[in-house]
Amino acid sequence: MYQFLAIIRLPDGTPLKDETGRITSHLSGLLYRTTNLIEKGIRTIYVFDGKPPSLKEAEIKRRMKVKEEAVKKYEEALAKGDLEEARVYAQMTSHLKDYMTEDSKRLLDLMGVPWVQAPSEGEAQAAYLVRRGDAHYCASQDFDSLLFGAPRLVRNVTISGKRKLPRKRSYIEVFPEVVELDRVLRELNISREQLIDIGILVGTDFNPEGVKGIGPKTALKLIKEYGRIEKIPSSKLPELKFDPEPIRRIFLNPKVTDDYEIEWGKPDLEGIVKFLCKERNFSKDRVEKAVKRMYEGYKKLERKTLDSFF
Amino acid sequence: MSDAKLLKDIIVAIATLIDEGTFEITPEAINLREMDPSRVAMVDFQWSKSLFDEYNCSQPTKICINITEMLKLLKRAGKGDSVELTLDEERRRLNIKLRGKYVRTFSMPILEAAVEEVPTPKITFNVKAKITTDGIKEAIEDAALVSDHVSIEANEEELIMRAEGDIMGATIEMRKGEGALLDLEVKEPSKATFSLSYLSDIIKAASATSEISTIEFSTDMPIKIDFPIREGKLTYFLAPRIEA
Repeated sequence: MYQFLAIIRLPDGTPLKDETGRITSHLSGLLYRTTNLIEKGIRTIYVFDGKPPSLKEAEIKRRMKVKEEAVKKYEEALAKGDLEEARVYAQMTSHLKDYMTEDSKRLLDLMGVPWVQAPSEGEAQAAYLVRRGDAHYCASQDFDSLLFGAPRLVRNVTISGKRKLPRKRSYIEVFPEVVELDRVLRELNISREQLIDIGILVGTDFNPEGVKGIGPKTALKLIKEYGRIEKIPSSKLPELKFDPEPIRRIFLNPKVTDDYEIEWGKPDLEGIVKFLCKERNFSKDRVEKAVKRMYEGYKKLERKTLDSFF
Repeated sequence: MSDAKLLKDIIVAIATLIDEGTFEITPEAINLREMDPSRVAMVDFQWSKSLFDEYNCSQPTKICINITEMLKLLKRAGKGDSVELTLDEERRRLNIKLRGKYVRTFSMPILEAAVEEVPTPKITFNVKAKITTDGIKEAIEDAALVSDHVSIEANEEELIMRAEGDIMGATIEMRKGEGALLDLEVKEPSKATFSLSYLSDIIKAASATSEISTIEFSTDMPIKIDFPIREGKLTYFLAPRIEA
C-alpha cells in the first residue's frame, strides 16, 4: 500500500485525489497491479498490517521523523519550483490513513480478491499463509518475511519490470527474484534461529540501529563461529543496547491468526464502476477496460497447482 | 538388493519431477512423497522392506537426497550388479555400494530435510482405466505432436484423448477391452485437460517400472497415474488445466 502511495503521484508529487480531496493513489495501484497479475495467471491475497509490536516504536518514531522532515523539504522544493526534488520528498511523506485501508478492502471485495487482516505484523501473517500452504509465495520487498519463516519469498513483483531510481529520471530494470528459506539456510549452513540472530545484529524493525560496525558479512561469520548472539565474546562485539531475546521471539512466535478464508470470486463490474467512478472520480473507460482484462485473465487456460486439491 | 536396475528405474521415475527429495525410512518401508517445484505434479512412492534381500532400520528417520546426483551414480551400475545402501548417521552421508565385477562404493551427503509434509489430494475419482503402459505412452506421444495439452474424457465404452494445437489436431480413441485399454470403470462421464509435457515426462520416466498403468480422473480434477510395482507403490498426481 505504501508503495502505491509513494509511487502513484502527479509529476509535482501530489497524490491522486477525488473531488473531495480523498487520496486514491492506492486504489489505482491495487486495481491495475492486481489486474496485471491476474492477466499473467497469478492470484493474489493481500495482507493488511495490524497493530505493530511495541518493540517497533523506535522504528515507527524514526519513520515519523523522516516523514516530518520530508514534508518540510517538499514544501521548500515546491516554493523553489524544483518539481523533481519535490517529487522525491513527496514520496517520503506517505501516511496510511484508516479510510485508505477501508477503501482498499472494499475494492478488493468487489474485485473478488481475498484479503487477510493480520493481528500484528503483516509479514508474519503472510509467512504463516505460505507455511500453511494457503499461498505459494510471500510477495514483499522485505527480507523480514524469511525471518518470520516464509518458505518462499518473491521480490520485485511488478509487471512493468522497471523501477525508477530516486532523484533520477532514469529507470532500472528489475526482475522478480525468488528466495527460498530452506536453500538459504542450507547454503549458509545455519538454522533459522541463527538467521534471525544475524538479522538482529545487522538491524531489524525492532532494533533499527543493529550493532555498530557489524554488517551482514561479519554477522554471518560471528554467528557461524559462536552459534548465537549471547555466546559471542565481548572482545568481538560491542555491548548490546538491547535484549535480543524478545526480538527473537517476535520472529519465531509472531502473533498470527487462523481466522481467514481464501477464496477468489468473480469481479463485480457494476460495483467497481459505482465505487471507483461515481464515488472516487476514476475514469469509467479505464476502469471498465481493467475489469474486462480481469475477466479475460480468469478465462485464460489456467494450469492449477495441486494445492487447491488437498 | 540383488538387482541395482530396479532401484535405478525407480530413481529415474522420481527424478523426472524433483531434483531433491526426502525419503522417510521406517522399520517397515521406504516412502517418498514430493511435489515438483511448481507444485503441479506429485510423486508418491513406497517400497516395503520385503522387497529387499536385507533391510535394517531400528528407528524411523528422514533423509533428504539430491536425486539427480543419486541417479548419476546408479546409472554406473552394470547388468546384474547388486546394490547396498547404508546411512552413515555420524557423517550424515549415504553410501551406495555396487557389487559386480568389482566393488564400488559411492558416498553422497544427506541434505537438510525440508519441513513441508505433502498431503494426498482429496479427490473422488469417477473414471478408472487400466491401460498398457506402452499404449498410453504411444497415445501421449501422438497428442504431443500437435499440442502442448490434451483433454482426456471417458464414457462407458471408451476413453478419448483430444489434442488441439494452433494448426493441427489429434483424436485418440481407445475402446474398452480392445488392445491398449484393458479395463474401464466409469461412474460418471468425465473430462479433464492436462499438460502434455508433464504427462509424457511422467509416463516415459515410469514406463520401465511396470507394463500396466492405471489412470483415475474426474472432471477438472487432478489425474492419478498408478504404476503397480512389486511390494510397493508408484503413484503420480498431476493437476489439471482448467478453462473457466
